[in-house]
Amino acid sequence: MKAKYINPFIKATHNLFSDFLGVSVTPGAPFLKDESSGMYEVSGIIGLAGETKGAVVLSLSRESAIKAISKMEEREYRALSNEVIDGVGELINIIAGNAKQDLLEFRIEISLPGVVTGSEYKIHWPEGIPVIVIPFESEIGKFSVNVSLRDIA
Amino acid sequence: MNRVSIQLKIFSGIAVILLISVSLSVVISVVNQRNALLETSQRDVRITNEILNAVIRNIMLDGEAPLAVSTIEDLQQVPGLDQLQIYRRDGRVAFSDFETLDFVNDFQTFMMFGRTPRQDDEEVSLEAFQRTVESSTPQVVENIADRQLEFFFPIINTADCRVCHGSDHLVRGVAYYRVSLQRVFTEIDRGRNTLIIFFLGTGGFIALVLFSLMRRVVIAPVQSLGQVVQTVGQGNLDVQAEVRSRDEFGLLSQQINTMISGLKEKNRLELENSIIETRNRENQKYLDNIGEGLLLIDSERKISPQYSRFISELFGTDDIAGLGLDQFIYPDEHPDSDLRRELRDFLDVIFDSVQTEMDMIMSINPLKDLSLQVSSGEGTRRIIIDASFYRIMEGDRVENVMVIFTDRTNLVEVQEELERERQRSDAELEQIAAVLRIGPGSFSEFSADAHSVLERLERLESGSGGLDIEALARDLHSVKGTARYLNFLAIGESIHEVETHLPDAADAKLSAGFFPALDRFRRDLAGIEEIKTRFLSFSAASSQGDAAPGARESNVLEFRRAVQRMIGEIADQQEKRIAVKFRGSVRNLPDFRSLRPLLIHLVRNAVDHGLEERYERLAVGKDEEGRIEFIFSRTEDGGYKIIVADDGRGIDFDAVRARAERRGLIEEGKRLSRQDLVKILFSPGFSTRDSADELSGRGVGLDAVQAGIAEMGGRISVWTQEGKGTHFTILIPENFSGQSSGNDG
Amino acid sequence: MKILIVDDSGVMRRIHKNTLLEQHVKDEDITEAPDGASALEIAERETFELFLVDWNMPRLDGLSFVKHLRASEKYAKTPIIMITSEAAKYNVMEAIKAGVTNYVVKPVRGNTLWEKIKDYVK
Repeated sequence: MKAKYINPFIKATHNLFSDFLGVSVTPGAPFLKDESSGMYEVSGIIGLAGETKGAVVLSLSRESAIKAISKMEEREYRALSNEVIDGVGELINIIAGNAKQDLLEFRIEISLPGVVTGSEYKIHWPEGIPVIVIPFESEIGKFSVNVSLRDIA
Repeated sequence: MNRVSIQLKIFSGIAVILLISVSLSVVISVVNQRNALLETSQRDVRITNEILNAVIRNIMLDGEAPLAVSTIEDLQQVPGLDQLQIYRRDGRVAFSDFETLDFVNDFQTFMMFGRTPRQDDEEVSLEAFQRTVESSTPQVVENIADRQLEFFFPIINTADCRVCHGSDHLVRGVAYYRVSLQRVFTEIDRGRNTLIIFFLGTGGFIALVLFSLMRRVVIAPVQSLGQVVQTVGQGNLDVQAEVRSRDEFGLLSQQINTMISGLKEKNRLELENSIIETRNRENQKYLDNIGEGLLLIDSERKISPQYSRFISELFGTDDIAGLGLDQFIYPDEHPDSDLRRELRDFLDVIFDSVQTEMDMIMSINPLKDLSLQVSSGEGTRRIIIDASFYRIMEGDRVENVMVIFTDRTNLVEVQEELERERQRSDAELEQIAAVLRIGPGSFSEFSADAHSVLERLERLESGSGGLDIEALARDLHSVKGTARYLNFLAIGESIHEVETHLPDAADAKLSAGFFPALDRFRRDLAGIEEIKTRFLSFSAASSQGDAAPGARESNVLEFRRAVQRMIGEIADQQEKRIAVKFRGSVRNLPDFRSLRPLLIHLVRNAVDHGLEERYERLAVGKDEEGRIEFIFSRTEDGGYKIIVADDGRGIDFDAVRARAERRGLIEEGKRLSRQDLVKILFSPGFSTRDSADELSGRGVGLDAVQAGIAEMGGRISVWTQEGKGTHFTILIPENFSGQSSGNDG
Repeated sequence: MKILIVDDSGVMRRIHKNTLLEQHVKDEDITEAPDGASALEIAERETFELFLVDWNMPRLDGLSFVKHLRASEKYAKTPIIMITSEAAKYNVMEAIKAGVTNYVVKPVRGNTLWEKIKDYVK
């Protein structure tokens, strides 16, 4: 998977958290996903279709999800409420939509976001396409961006 | 000229008419009333006189003169009569003496009258009295000053009277009455005053009504029309006379409006004419002189004939009127190419999607900071343009789109030049450090190689043929490798620029970019020489023992440092993580001046083509960090063995085959072993200059490496496995004294 | 001045609404819809003078919603602002062709959004 397909998602994530939500984030070393590595309690999922295919997942710890949405809405949430889950869907939508700006080589349609929560869930990624995990450390907790995109080069 | 306002005129007109009619009415009615009153007075006096006459006569006929006297005296007390007197015809008051009594006693015989007391005497000698006596007709005298009326009635000497008074006279005397007209006149005055007040009141009201009517019907329309006409006279045609009434003024307003729109139309035509004229004259002057490229696109999506000369200068073309914008910007692209279609689409939405704001449309402006190659008389050059689009609306429709081009070439070039300068000065320190580290030896080698290349380039520049372009290209490339390796970044870049513009054949036409690139190379090389001179004087001044500290250093160590630095820079640009590892106990390699560019070439190959990007590596299950390994060892026969290994993707033999077919090196579809393909990989002309990538080898590939190794009497072999990596193994004999690969001309 | 906010995310609708309320738009003038289809029903029933529309929504997406509005006489010229995360040039082009008035890329701060829409809010 070429960096030019991964970097737009990292950039969009960075913009969203660092520039928009004002949360300082540090990306860690990316790695290849195996089974459930890099997944936290709340995951927003968006499917990518069009001239390529794939999926992108924003996975947040419970704490970071609550804090991120509290910052976004400027309203204090304390629990993993429906509002927070709805907001996580919006976060992944923003990441996927913004990333398209720099994915110049192909036209991509993004799906509606889905959000899963809990400690025991498995995401069925598109078959045969590796998933790259970019872990982030931040002042509101841990989260990761998981990108799986078929190269068309 | 003093203008009297129509308002004042009408107002004073109405006032005068009013005054005259009021005065006339008052005079007429006063006169009528006065006459009526006077007539009444006269009638009253006449009746009174008749009564008096009858009474006195009857009394006198009875001979009772004293009774008559007392009757007169009583009547004199009647109110309304200022004075009542009976005069004899000689003007004396009757009964004031005994003259008549005596005459009567003498004249008749049947009766004697005794003398009774007499009246006060008084004589009247008025003209009216005389006229009455003479004409025996009553006379009226009006004494206006005293507001009195005097009546003179004749007392006729009737037949009865003649018995006593004789018949020698017709008039016996005169009855005189004086009546005061004070009351009458007071009444007349009161009536007049009432009349005046009444007339002034009603007249004033009528005048007011008339005036306001006039104002509304005449003055206001005249004034507003006057204003309109005045405004029009001052040249403002954006006024309209209000058509309020259906009278002559309404008609006049309509006529004025017709006249205004006629003027407007005339003005518009004149304006249009002058616009067309000045467009052709002034606008052209403007268009010729502004430092902006300005053009108009009509609704047919074609460039209008009016555009600024700057456009022609910027794009080096003329006669663009009638072209589509996409055709003008991308003349070399196919009309159906993405670029041209995108620009057409963009222009279409500016024209058609009028609900959409321009700021939204401009966010996808395809002509923002666009770098273009334009060709004019003297070759091609690069320009960087920025275009802004503006709608020119006609109602709800976009009539034209104005495009303003800004030339950002200089700006960008200045920025680039500044960046180069900055790099150059940064690099200078680095270079000095590098020279200190590696010693003047390697430096002189580089300098000699660079001069050799420069000399050949200058021969090319002056047009003398007979050059081996392929060899020049190879040597140029190798000098570039050394420059990078020595961290001479600026000169490395100027050599790269020269490479880009190097012609395919010695007699081919040189591109416009070749000359400035060569100039830069020359300048940069002079700069390097300068550093060298400075360095030499520095080392001469330094203590003997410390001079050229790098000179004693192992060339493998020096190579290692240079390679690590080089890879560090390239890796970041390519989204790669690379670890370089050096192994082996060899401290110094033979003929390192020739060997070094070849090794660098292999490293570059490994970095550029061998190693995958970080995520690619992750995706295939490798570490994010790629590895390049150098193993230096001695062979049993005293020679040297150098292995350059990477753990990248390995040689893609399908790609090699495809490229070889494309280059015409092998027949299409021919079955070839991997061995054969490896041979092709090392054959001259396999790698091409068509991929103008700053990092990858251009025109000089593994064939150059193999040629260099062969010159040293050595050989090179390759091991590769898909997904695992590529290892190059070089063997060189111990006692080979090779010649420079760069100096053979 | 009636405004319809169309977004499937309640959080997003609330954020937009708060932006409007902070700028003294009256609460009763703001209507919300969670997808294009229900927004279309509301827009037919009532009359709005400004639409803030998300792109990705269930049932009927924002782009189709805009096309429906533009096809009707009633909303042929009403300002429609698309507020979406879709940042690709081809998306912007599609939105222009569908007839949107202006385009705001999420995430967007309240004052940035207001700057973009204030001219349409009476």
